[in-house]
Amino acid sequence: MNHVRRFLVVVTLLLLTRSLRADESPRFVEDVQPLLEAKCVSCHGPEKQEGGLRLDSFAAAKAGGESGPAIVSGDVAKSLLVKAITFRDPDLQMPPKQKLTDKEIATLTQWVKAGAAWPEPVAVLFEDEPQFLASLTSGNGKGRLVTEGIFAGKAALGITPLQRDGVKIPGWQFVIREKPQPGEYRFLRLAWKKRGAGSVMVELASNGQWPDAKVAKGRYVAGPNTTGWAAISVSETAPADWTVVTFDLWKDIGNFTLTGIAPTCDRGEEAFFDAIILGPSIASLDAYRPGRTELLGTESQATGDAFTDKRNPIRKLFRGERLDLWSLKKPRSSTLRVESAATNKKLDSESRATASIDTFIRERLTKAGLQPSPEADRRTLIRRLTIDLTGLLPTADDVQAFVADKSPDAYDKLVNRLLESPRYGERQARLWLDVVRYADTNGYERDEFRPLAWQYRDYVIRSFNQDKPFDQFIREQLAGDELLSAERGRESFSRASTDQSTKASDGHEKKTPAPLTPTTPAEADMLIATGFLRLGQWDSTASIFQEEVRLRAEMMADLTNTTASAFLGLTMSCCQCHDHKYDPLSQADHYRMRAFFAGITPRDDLAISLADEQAAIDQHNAELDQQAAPLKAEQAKLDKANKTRHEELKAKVAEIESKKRQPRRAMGATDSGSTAPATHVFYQGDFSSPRDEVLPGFPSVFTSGPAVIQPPHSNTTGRRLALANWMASADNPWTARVIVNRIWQQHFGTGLVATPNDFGYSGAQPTHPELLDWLAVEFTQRGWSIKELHRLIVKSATYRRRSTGGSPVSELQASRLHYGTQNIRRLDAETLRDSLLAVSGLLKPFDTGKPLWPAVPDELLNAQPAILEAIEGKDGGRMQGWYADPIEQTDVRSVFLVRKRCLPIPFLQAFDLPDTTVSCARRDTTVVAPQALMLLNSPEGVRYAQAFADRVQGTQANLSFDDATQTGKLIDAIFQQALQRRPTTDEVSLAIELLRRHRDQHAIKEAADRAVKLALADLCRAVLNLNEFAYID
Amino acid sequence: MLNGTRRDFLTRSGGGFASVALSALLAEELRGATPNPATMDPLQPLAERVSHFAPKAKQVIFLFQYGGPSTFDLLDYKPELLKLHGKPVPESFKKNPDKVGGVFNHCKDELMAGPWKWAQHGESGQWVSELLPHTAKHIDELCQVRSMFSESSNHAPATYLMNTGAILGGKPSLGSWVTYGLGSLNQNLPGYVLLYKVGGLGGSANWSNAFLPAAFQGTQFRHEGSPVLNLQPPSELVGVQRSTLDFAQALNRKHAAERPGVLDLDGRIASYELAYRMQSAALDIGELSLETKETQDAYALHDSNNSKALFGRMCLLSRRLVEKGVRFVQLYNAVDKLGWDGHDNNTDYHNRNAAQTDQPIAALLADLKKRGLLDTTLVIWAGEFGRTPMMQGNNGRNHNPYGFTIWLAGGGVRAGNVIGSTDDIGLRAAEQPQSAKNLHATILTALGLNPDDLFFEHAGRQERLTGVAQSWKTIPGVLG
Repeated sequence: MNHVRRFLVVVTLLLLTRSLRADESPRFVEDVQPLLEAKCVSCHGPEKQEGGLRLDSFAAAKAGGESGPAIVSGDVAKSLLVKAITFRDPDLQMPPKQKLTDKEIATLTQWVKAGAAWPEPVAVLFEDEPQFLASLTSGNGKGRLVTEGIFAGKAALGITPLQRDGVKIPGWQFVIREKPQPGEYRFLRLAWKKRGAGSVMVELASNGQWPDAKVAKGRYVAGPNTTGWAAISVSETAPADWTVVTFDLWKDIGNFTLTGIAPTCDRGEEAFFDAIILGPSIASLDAYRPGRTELLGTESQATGDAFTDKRNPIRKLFRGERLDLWSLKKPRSSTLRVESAATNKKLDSESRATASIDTFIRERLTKAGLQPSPEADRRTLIRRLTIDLTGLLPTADDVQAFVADKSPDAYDKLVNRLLESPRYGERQARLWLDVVRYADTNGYERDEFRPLAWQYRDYVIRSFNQDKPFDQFIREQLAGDELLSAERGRESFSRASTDQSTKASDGHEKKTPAPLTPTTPAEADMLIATGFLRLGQWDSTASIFQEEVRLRAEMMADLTNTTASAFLGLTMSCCQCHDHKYDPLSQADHYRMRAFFAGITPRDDLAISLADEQAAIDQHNAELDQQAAPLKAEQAKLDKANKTRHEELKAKVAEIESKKRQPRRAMGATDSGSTAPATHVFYQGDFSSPRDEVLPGFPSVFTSGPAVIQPPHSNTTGRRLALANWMASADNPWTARVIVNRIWQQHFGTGLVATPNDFGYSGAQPTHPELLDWLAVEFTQRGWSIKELHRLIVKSATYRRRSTGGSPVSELQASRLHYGTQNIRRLDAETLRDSLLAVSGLLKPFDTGKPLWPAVPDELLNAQPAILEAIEGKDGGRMQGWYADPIEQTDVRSVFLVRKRCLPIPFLQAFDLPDTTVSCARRDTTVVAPQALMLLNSPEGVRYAQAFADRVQGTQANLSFDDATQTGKLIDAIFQQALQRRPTTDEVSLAIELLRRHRDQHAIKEAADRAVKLALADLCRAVLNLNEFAYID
Repeated sequence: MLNGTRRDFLTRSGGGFASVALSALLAEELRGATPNPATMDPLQPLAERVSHFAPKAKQVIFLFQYGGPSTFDLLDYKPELLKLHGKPVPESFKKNPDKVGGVFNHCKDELMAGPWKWAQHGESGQWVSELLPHTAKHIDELCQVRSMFSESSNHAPATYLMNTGAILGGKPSLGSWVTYGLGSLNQNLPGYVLLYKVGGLGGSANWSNAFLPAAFQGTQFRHEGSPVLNLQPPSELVGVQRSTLDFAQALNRKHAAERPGVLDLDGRIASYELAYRMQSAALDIGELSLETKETQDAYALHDSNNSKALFGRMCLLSRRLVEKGVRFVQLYNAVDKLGWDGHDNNTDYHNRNAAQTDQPIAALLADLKKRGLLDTTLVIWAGEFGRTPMMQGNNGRNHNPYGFTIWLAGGGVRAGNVIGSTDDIGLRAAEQPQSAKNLHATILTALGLNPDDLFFEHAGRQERLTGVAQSWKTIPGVLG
């Protein structure tokens, strides 16, 4: 055997190495890099490059920024980094807000002095990861993870003869080069030892192939080689104790792509391997400290929260920083002096509560030297309140009645009436549907219709109208199926007879147990609520190209991110590929949350017929079966030659079968069983590079251990219910604050936190933290009632203030920022359309059911080739098309119109309809010319104006506009209906002028009565386009 | 750019104009961070903005090739494939595991060469297939990138990737980013215009502004009839449009005067005037009859092949749009839902699509050049992916995300250059594989935009077309 000895570095390493360096200069990986990451990289790194400087690579730091090189190796005086951190120069002091500690300054200074060694990153192939072992899928030896007598970290690999091997390990595409570029490598280092006689070997696969048995390229052996495979010999004897070896793969093998490995042991007892690392240089390997992966936060041993327990991984990861994030602390209600607006008499609790809001607001105003605006007039109030609570304008009669109501509780009565209106739930639901990115179609290439999605939409409407406690609302959406069983006790998981193989609309074939049959509408709603888990996009064509794994990974990420945004105001999407840049969340935290959803399987077959209804269906179907039974029996016995009778029987059976009734079904999700597939941290977020396995867990900052999970029955994991219960708790620091902030935003245009989906460092700080906390506590104490929360806010003097007038502009603007003056707000897309429909008299009552499809121009259908496929009838019944309903049926509130991902309804889209890919926390209100074109010129805009004119004209015939009194009445009616006020004298004369001139102009081409109608519609069109119509004071 | 301080902008904005930008600014204000570089005047979101550095090109025409053209049947000459026609795929091409979907699954183990003849053209002597006789005349002006790859072998994700930089959809499109960064050169027209008979799979998400302000959304320009949907009211109302508007504006001005400092209200008054001006500006663009007979014929406007004539109209419209200062024009080549997607009969699909697009595209290049517009207009020809050299069915080719050719021409592009290559059978990018991200970075750089500095604060992150800072490289050799 030809033993080739080339460039080999063999280092026998004592286990003591790590503790040998008490007085050495600072080391990069352990001392310097964490410091740079914690203190510098957030402003000088991939996200931001203040002053053009980055401090996340040596090349960038050396190149420096606008002021020059940040680091000059060995030269402290020339290194701007050192200058900045020492605060010697008043113009260059970093970090700007807080000087580093003396120790930290010394660390960085000494490091620069010692040459600023900055090793390139290494690739850790194995430290402690069980999935590494799992990826060695073949070989006649056995492998295990051992935790005793290991080299570093928590586990080592034990291999019995002959080997475990993986020739193409998922995610392994390591390019080996002489001069590695970033992401490429050259050296391999590992620690090994062998118990008893025999040798230890490692075999490396190149481009998916094992090396030729006869050539010593790609195999390294220590000890006498009895395998018969040529190998480079590292030492004559096998290592009896842990020995670190380093191989120059490029010198020994050449340029290649490392795709697999086989830890090998020729005979006798086990061989052990640990800390297998790839690096671009020896220096990079030297800089790596084995055992670092524990920082990922995947240890099974739970720690306390990061505030109190030093072992908490978040504390380690961020060096104790980032824990002062305001939203991590539980909301606390501060005591305050509540002032009584009118008298000093004792306030009842209700008045006290609303007065509390005003006290918090007034405190800030006073500090800013601002006076609050007075209360708005009654017309303004009812318009504002009706739009905010119901998404519709009040009628002229509503306004008149309220203005005329002199009773002291007139406003309270109005609030109650609006909160009890079914329109309230429709409005509230629309805003929630934004947050959960609701749509009626799958998205992507085919964008198929989801025929059952609307049940979730109606569930949301019902829930708000019933004022379902918000904590219950959370539990139902995340885990309604598990909740149903939990609430009914540990019943068996329903009737096996309904277990069936079904195909969900997203193409999933599955055989899963059915949940319990609901006995009440409330129980049925729990199942419908799980539709939440299905609202994301779904690419049904992924399977055609074997992209299901990617798709499932995307779905899980999307669900995790949406859940975190919607309920917690956490940006979990930011820690999918790396630890969070701002907030105390590790990459593992993203996957720990993802693991709560790991068990789910999409379902389109959740039976929601109530138990008695189901019983009736069963009985009905059983009777039919009885009728069919004798026919079937005859069929079975029949002589095959008797074709006529055979056909006759077949038809009869078919006829009977067709009478069978199906239970009502919902689109949702359940777990596929009591266990869930493992969740792995994905290296850099890449689904094809799974690393450490994680268990479901809440953000590690609170506890690093896995969540305690109690499955409510034997066919589900119980994971989602555990997550829901943690969220729906007054102890959760985010949940109540997040929803309270959303409702506040609804009434003022901005939230107390201006970024409702981001309560982290990169989001906005609360402008009124005490008020936010007070509202959050009040909200949970009042039983998580959303209606109570609305009541609290809209009754406050703060809500009722004027939006303009009185003060100088600059003061008003300052006052608006401090809630001393209300904001002027544009109607959003749906509110605008719904108000147009209502004012023009077109609005059709509709409060539940399948979505309606308004017609859209053909050329917009062409925008999506899949729609054309459907139009030609070539979509295989997948419902990829656009299914326009008759125009008069579609004049319903916009929440009931179809939301097709690839083709938003143009009229709504023009007015800033949000995208349905990710959660939308706040509607844009841009002002652009296409909106003007839409409202002025589109068939919809023209039609609304025409209908409005017809409504105003009523039964009056022979209009002419010559009669000023009659014309004045018409104008008055137009203003009353659209703006709920009378026109001024100037407006009347302008309007009369318009009517007469337009009448004359239309009369050139049209008959006289038609010219009059057109002129009246012109005036209506002008009024519906007014700023006063589109904006609420 | 907006005059005055950021504080002015914040306070003048009142009740939520461009509220996403505003809240992002407000959030930054509270943190004391630097302003977003693309702060815009809410009254004039399309006002021209200064680029980060001197641009090589000012405007863009993106000729999107829907369906996935088989680029080794068009531009990427593969003599080895001609030799291996009818033979099984050599084992050496099968060994690499494919990360995205498997290209071999729906194909036969049989290589298929196209039936077209190849010849060398231009001074550079580059090979072009006989499918593109007109483009061949311009071959020395094109810069070809022959080593593009995609991250999905499905139409919608791959089309999203090419247009928005992400396979998921829901992100702003290239055209939106460009107009957000630079504004436009004509305030009476949309800054980002789309021309299509049939769009791309995935629908309007391909030209969505997503979280960028709505002013940067792609506006469809129609190739016949009124150029922009709802540009005008029904005919009987055209004559009274101005006085209807005058009435509304008189009341609007009074309403705004009673609410001083609420910029939205002024903004909306201005938007109605812009809409009115757009009517005449856009109608002018659509007047193709004003072009000479020679020009009309060059673009094949009167060709007996209706599809070709239609595509010719779109090409001519795009030149007129660019001439009038529209920043970004995107064309979709397809006239039906099939495009280049030749699963069942690659030969037919490619004969048809090449015949429809070749002459008009060549005419566009010639016309831009003649008018001196090519120097400042970046023209891009790209589909979402390429096709397999393996046979699907009896004469088809399947999707292939692993290697395909695109080309660029005009503003700042190194004419005649060829970058990268595919392997001998055109299956995978071999030398210098290039991602959509690198292509986007190259386009932005040509326009004087630094991809890392073109960002928008959204949901707690600085979002960019090109993702994480410095995760891209401009494609070497494209820009002169």
